[in-house]
Amino acid sequence: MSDKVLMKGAEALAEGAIQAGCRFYFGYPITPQNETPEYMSRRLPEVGGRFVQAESEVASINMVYGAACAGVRVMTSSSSPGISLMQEGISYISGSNVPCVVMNAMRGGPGLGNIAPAQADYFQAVKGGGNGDYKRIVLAPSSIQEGVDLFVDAFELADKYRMVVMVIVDGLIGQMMEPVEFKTKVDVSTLKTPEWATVGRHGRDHANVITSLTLDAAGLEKWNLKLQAKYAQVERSESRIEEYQMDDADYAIIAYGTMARIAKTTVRVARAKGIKLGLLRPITVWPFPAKQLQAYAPKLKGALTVELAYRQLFEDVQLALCGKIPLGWFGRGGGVVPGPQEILAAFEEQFGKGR
Amino acid sequence: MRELADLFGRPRAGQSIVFAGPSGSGKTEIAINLALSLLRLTTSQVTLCDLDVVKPYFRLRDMLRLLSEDEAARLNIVEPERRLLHADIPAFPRNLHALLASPETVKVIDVGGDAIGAGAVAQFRETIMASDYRLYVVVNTLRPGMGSADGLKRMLAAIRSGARLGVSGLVANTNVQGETTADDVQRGYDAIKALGDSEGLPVVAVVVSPEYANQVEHRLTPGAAGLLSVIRVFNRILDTVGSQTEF
Repeated sequence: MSDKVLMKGAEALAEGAIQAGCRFYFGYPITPQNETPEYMSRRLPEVGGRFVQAESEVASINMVYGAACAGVRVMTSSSSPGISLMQEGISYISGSNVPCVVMNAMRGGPGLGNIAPAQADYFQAVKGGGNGDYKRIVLAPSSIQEGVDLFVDAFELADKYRMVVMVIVDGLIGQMMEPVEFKTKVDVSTLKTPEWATVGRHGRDHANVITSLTLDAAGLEKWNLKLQAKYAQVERSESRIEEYQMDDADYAIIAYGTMARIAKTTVRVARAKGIKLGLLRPITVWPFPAKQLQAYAPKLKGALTVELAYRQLFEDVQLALCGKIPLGWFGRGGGVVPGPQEILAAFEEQFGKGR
Repeated sequence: MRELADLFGRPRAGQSIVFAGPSGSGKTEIAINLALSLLRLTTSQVTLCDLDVVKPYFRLRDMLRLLSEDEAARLNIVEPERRLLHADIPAFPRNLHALLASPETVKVIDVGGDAIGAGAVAQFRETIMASDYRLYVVVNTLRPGMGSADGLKRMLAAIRSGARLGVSGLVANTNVQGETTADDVQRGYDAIKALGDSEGLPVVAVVVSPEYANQVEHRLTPGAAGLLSVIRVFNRILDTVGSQTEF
């Protein structure tokens, strides 16, 4: 009998979060990730957790903020326009130095856009979105199984660094079905309530106060420097990349998430034609695996960035590789997903036949 | 291997075959494959109705690109009007009552998942009931919550109360896509057969996909093997398909 079950991405990621110790979920429905709150509403009560469908995304993220201050594993999920509404809360949570996980199943934009898959919230996820100097760790799985596995890391990283961890997928990963198994089960009874949590004084000589408000400039600068030191530590330690058929590659495609899956097929098709193409797939898009990309620069004749967006991932690739090797870009927007041959055609147009 | 059209008793013009069941159990794939099987084996007109108001992607309307030109030309497709196809609102096709009552064509009807999807067709209940219908519940026991006899019973009760139509039989569609083993298919059939026995419902088909049909075919008990059918059109969208999929 198979140890695997057949799950839709949005359900599997919810179960992955529960297995990772998440016991609190606050959210508001939006396609294409409605199966996540629906699944949470059914499963969390079974494991002693709490689910609340809030009255809005703004309310959801502030409920997450509250639970995060209590030191529990908490998450929310939404899709692009809903994530936009949460940016203020994400900034407050980041400014308050408390951990949580936010998942974005990205859809076509800008504005209301459509419900089709996209990667156009890249800048919002990795560069900001809310106000102030803050960073989140951003994980970008390219299969349902990887998403489930990364959810364990997401909660561990959030707790370790007291940061918001975003898991970004696109609508396709949210909606497609794949066999999946849950390898890691975190025993929540082993999770300790952190010292800083606002859950009562318990004989301490001081009350814990969590806030993102610091009125004096020198004090706020000091707080910012503390955050910056933490972000620098994360940049040094936590960037991840998958290297696919890179050993003898002359050229690389750089892509993440769904786009990287399709690009893998492009690599196989190109290699059958004698083009030595490989794939570099950022698994963390912040911290961006710039060093890992740079290590390949001396060996590569060029790299093509492929994304379901217009030159967003490409900007980080340029920051890492500009002036080192020739760079090309190909993308589609609005929910159109290119196939492997279309990507290969773009590669050949920009780099010749790759010889 | 049996033809799906035969396992469903080669429905005649005027009859309606409705597929309901928990979300992700394979209703859309089975509906489309039954319609194609009917086209191959009979001279009946066949109409495929997309009444899925639940899932936003991978609906029948998104799978039609997998059909050959000839199949697409012969199959009568009823779906929400073009401008609403991707609107993320629960829109039904127009003139549905007239179509459901039509004596000219076999109707294969794909409804949305769970009690909510089934509930959406309850408004057509009287028309469907007057149309000589059969409603089948498609089950994949390797979906979450479907692994126990209790879970299966709860699911069936929910579908029944949602659709408010009588259930004619069960379709065994246990799979984990390309990784499915004969053991998975057999255990799935056994669990669904047990559900059927306790509820007075027959299992009418055991469905497999070409990815693993060969490994399964000669390893089932006679009960399951006699109901085995392989689907031809199925949705494994990513990696190799891609091809400018527009949603």
